[in-house]
Amino acid sequence: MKLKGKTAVVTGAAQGIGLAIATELATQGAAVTIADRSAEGAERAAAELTASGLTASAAVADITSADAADALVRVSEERHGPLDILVNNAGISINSGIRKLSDEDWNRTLAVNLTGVMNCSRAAARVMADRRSGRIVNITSRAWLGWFGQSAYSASKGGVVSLSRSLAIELARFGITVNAVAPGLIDTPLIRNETPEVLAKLLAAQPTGVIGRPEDVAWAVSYFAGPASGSTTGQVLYVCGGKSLYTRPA
Amino acid sequence: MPVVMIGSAPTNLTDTVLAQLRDAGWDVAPDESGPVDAVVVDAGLAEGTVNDTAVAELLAGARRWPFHSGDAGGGAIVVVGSRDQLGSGKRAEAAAVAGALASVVRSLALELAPAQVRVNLVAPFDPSVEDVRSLLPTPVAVEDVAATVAFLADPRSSYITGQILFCCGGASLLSSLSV
Ligand SMILES: NC(=O)c1ccc[n+]([C@@H]2O[C@H](COP(=O)([O-])OP(=O)(O)OC[C@H]3O[C@@H](n4cnc5c(N)ncnc54)[C@H](O)[C@@H]3O)[C@@H](O)[C@H]2O)c1
Repeated sequence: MKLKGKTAVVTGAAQGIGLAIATELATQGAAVTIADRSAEGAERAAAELTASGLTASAAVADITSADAADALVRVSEERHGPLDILVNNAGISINSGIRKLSDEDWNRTLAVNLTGVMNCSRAAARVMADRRSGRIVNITSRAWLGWFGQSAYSASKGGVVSLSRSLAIELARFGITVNAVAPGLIDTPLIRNETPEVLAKLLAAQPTGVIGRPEDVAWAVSYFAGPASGSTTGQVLYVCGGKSLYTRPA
Repeated sequence: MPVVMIGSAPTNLTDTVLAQLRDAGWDVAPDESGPVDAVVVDAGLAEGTVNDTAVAELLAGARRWPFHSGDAGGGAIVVVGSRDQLGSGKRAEAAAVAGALASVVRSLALELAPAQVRVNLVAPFDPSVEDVRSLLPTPVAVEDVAATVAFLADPRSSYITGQILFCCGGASLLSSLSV
């Protein structure tokens, strides 16, 4: 129970990787606020956790709004007490070649994946700095290294990497660590909808021949959220089965 | 789970790593014939020694250590190097070994991936050796370095390989090689 007595906010936690993170942090003892733009999804996820004896509550928040991010931190503190851990997980992925990329898709991607992370981090930093402690963990993606059709997504996730590093430097003196986890291929509904051919191709491009699970990401997040990472800040940890090691397009 | 600890010399860090692994339920004195679940290699660089056989030992050992084989096979190698891998104006010899260890870790991770053997590196520094400071209010703690080793050795880190975690309180962030 490494996180006993701690409180956490996880954004985009209604499903997928975010739900796995919320579950891991709660299992390690934290009281978790499940934040999502989907009210129904957040309620369902929080009910699932409380039913298994964990401490969780739901909060509706669209992180693209600064007001909503501020309110999220306030609500979490009212319910569970001072905020110790923020996990910025909510994100969207829109693929499009640059020549067909619409302004709308570019702006939406940046708004959720980058501005949203800044909105929540700023709200959390304000309360954490006063207390001289805190943990911020941002979910970026291995895809920030770049790929075909991913200019918007990779730029937004690259933004998360440099945002994390600047926040790490700026907030260190307040005892706040800021780190990023960069998942590679993870088994989510998105992938299960792929055709067998595409899936085989994806698998063949994995050094270990394995596709990761949301729980693998959640475990890495729990390291950065917990006491073991007390001397670690500004890091980007790839949870990708080694795909980030390739030295040529595979 | 059996774990083997290989250190250049018994140091404060290796002792702390061993103690933490023992507390976490690892069998830290396994039968040498194996199989083992994890091997932790402390090259001793963070304590100020320059062990220039560390690279050869890691290369030879990684291909020889008795990890589990077969379908449920595999294991973890965690190397403790040094943030000197980024380059050092004062310890070029240590930097050379640290840099070599980092690229060996990344190479072995690829080489051993099909056997499900993971290879990762923790890059700390010792403030008594290096003229750097943690950006965090407290100095880099040997317990934190050890806990980071234990995190990477843990079977739950099975999707993490070839990675480098700097345990330096943010002191390395200005280096273009730190990302
Ligand atoms: N799935 C993968 O393989 C993979 C790989 C690398 C990185 N990631 C990253 O991991 C994170 C989670 O991905 P996932 O696969 O679980 O996604 P998902 O689509 O399954 O879940 C994302 C959740 O975020 C919520 N959300 C989206 N926009 C929001 C907003 N504006 N405000 C609040 N909530 C919002 C959604 O409602 C949803 O519940 C994302 O940041 C994604 O970029 C995923």
